[in-house]
Amino acid sequence: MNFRDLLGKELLFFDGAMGTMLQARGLKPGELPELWNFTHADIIKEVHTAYLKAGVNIVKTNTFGANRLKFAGTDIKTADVVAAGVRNAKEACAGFEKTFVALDLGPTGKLLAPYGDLPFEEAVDIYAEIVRAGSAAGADLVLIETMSDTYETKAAILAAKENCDLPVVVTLTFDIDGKLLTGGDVAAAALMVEGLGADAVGFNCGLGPAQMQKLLPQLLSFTSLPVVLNPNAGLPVERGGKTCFDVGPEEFANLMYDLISEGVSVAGGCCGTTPEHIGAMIAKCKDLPAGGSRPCNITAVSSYGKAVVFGKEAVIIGERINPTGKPRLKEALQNADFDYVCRLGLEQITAGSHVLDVNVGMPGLDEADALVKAVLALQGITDTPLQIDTSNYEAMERALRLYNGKPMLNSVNGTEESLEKVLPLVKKYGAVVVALCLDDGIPLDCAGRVAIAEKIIAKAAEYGIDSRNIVVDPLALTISTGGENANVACEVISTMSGKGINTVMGVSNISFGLPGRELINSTFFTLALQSGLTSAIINPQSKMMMDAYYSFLALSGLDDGCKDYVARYANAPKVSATIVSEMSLFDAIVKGLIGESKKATAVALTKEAPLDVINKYMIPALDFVGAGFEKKTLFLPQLLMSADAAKAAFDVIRDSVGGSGDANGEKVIIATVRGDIHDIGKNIVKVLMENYGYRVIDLGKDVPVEAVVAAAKEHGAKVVGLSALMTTTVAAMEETIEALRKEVDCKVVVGGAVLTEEYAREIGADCYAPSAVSAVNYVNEIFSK
Amino acid sequence: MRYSRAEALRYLRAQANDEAAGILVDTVFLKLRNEVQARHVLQKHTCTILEDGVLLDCGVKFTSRSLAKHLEGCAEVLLLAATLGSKVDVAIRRLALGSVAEGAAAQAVAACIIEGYCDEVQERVESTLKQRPRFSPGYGDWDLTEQRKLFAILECEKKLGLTLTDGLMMAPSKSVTAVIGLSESVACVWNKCMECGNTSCPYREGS
Repeated sequence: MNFRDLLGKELLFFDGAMGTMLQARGLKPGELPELWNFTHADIIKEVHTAYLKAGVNIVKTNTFGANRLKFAGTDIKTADVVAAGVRNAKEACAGFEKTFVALDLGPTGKLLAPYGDLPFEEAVDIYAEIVRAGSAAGADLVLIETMSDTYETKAAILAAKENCDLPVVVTLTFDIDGKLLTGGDVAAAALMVEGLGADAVGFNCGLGPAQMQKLLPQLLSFTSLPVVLNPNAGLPVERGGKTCFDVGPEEFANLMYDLISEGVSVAGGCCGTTPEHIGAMIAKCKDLPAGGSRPCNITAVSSYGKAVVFGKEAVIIGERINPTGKPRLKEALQNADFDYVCRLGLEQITAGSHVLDVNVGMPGLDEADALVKAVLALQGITDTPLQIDTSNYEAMERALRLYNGKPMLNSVNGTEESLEKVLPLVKKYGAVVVALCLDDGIPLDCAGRVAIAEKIIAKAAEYGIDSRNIVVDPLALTISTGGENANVACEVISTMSGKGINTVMGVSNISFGLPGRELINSTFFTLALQSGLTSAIINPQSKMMMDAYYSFLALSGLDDGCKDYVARYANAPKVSATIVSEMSLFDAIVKGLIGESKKATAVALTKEAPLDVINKYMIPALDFVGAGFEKKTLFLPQLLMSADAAKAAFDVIRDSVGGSGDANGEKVIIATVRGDIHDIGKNIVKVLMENYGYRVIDLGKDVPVEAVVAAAKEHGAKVVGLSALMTTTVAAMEETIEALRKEVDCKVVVGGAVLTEEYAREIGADCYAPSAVSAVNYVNEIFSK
Repeated sequence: MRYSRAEALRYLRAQANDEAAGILVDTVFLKLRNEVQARHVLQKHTCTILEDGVLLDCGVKFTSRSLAKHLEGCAEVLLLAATLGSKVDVAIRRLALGSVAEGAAAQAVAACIIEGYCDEVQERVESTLKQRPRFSPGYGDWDLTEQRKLFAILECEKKLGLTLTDGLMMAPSKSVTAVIGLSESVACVWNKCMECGNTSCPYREGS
């Protein structure tokens, strides 16, 4: 009998705490409990046996923290520790019926990049090693527990699914507000875990049964999987500087009885629970039925932080991260300027996007590489879910893999090739996929398109993909070539809507080739919404489109009491069409006024050439502020506000010349060195240098020595700027300088909190920049500006 | 949540009477406060003060003469770890993308919030004993590598999601770990800036 045969069919019981038991038997704070698998195997088995005697079905191996990071610098092999842990549990189980050994995987103890410094694939690899060792040693299931980060959870699930066929149970740790340590909520995490193919999902640690009860309804509604609960014996209480758990066995059993009755399939305990707690629970609850799996009809995508649900107010998917017809974005992608991509994302979020479409396909660019970088950059600054938009299968897989959440994928179509290539990826990474109603061509009528949608849905079902994870795109063809095109699209939407299938559409194609496109687009948008469109790929910065959207919500009863509509439009300021500025650009920059700076630039550009505007107003203003900062008549906030104002002016100039503002600027490479994840100083330097017209190649933070050398060579840069914040990372700075000296002829300027003039000289830098201004001054000297 | 405009301005290296900077930090505080997920762990230990460090009841020894001096006369210590969570880091990056001024102000405001949070946590400790100022790895001669010992005792990774990078930086970055001495009287009036070896630090107070 295996675990999957029983899961969800009869109520199963996990054991309770291991750590609590070991501490009571002499484990010291800070000691690695996993090593007791060798040194105190008898005690470990004794703990397992105590729980087995209490009646549990599943024992967790003593391998919670057994990973190669913990044993770094010793000759302890992770695989041996894991094998010993499984062996102890199996030996303890001998003689007990209906028992299973759960290979226990806890957090790595590192935060994943970009939030920390552990690369995603390394996390997968760390878990893979444990999974292989544990399954070889005979574990019956994999338990991924106490997870407080969706990204790390994803790495662990992928490692489990890719390295064994065992059932995978995932339990996450939420706080009393229902949030993970990295900010995710129950819905976001549950959606991702189910999408990645776990067999059961639930909560452990952090909370007691009473607090978990408040979060349980959310979990039950956002997943169809059997639910697992392993709470602590109440909330931890600090008493005399020690942590205590106050819920006793009887109370624990009573609370668990209520929880299990709500639909739980597997129950056990975590910190503070003992064989007495678990025994009391089993005695009280053993005759309750298992909750099992439940139908779940929610269509939703998620990020590390939140879920976006389809089916009520239409989901707005911002379309602007797409280089087609956007020279400035093309230039940014060519220069690997992902800050620009992020800004495009933030603008759209501010304008009302619920999801961001990310498409970076353009000739001459390694799309897979660029898409991965764009996705990583965006999920490092926002919890708005992303729609991965590509027809390149390699790009698709790599982006889906590194996405932190349940992704949306654009798209699959009805051709054999697309179905065979895309659907396995949708299944593996748990995506919601956009299904285009086309195969070898686009049928002109509704019936033809619906038939393709149904073909895709049927094929997806063969791969085990539920129809709730498919969102049908009826395809908007321009009405300039076919008068029925808008009607057909709306008809497809209402047909799919009638079948309970969600829909998505790129709305603006409808007006291709016509004048006054926004008028057609916004009217068509309203018609599509009225037909039941559940999500739309649009430009959220188009006022007419968003006006159509908000007024539709008010008209269709989706905006209770028209509150949102009133809030948005009641006091809307009248937009003045003429640009009048009373302030000179010089003054606007010196005073750090962004709005004034933009206006003054626009005015200046009507009279003077862009280069003159830069040289006559911007640079002198920046020089003025920089000099004031050095003389201490001006302070950091003014310097930074001026930098922002100058940057705003620069953006206006770039837009006026079609995007190629600084393509000819001198190149400067900047990076925060390996091991250092603080980049505020470096970012300030970057903005200042860009304002002076330099083309800054920003390698980011935690940059390996070789990457700095490679970039310096590739770009033939005359100056490299390095930043390090900590004494511990100045060593990496020294190494980087040494490596640069061997291969590249360039000047190196360094900065960072712990550096001094003397220290900088010692590690071989050409210049020590105590401030961003001094770094820019030095670079100006080099290029004798 | 505690927030002091004056403190934030000091971290931002602004003049105390700089009105524009005052508005900047206030605005940023409003944008940041909903991203804060403050958490902490606190443990009390008895300790023995040695010449070159401090020995805790759990057998762990912190090696630092400065720490030993700082804890002179303390029979007990509190070990504290606190963090604002990774959403704050994400928000700071987001704000910095739109505006370097807001980015820098966000760093300052977040630093201010975590310090205030630690103060609050300490104020809730019920004890007749007085608390010495927080002393953290990296202060004086206390080597940053000793951070690992504090992390192991407090189980920061598991309890807080607070981690150390290979370079011994804390992630999430807006976090504090510290040892707080407990004694009958605050015998040691300690000026952390004047004890520190970094004489060129821009935040140095009292020089």
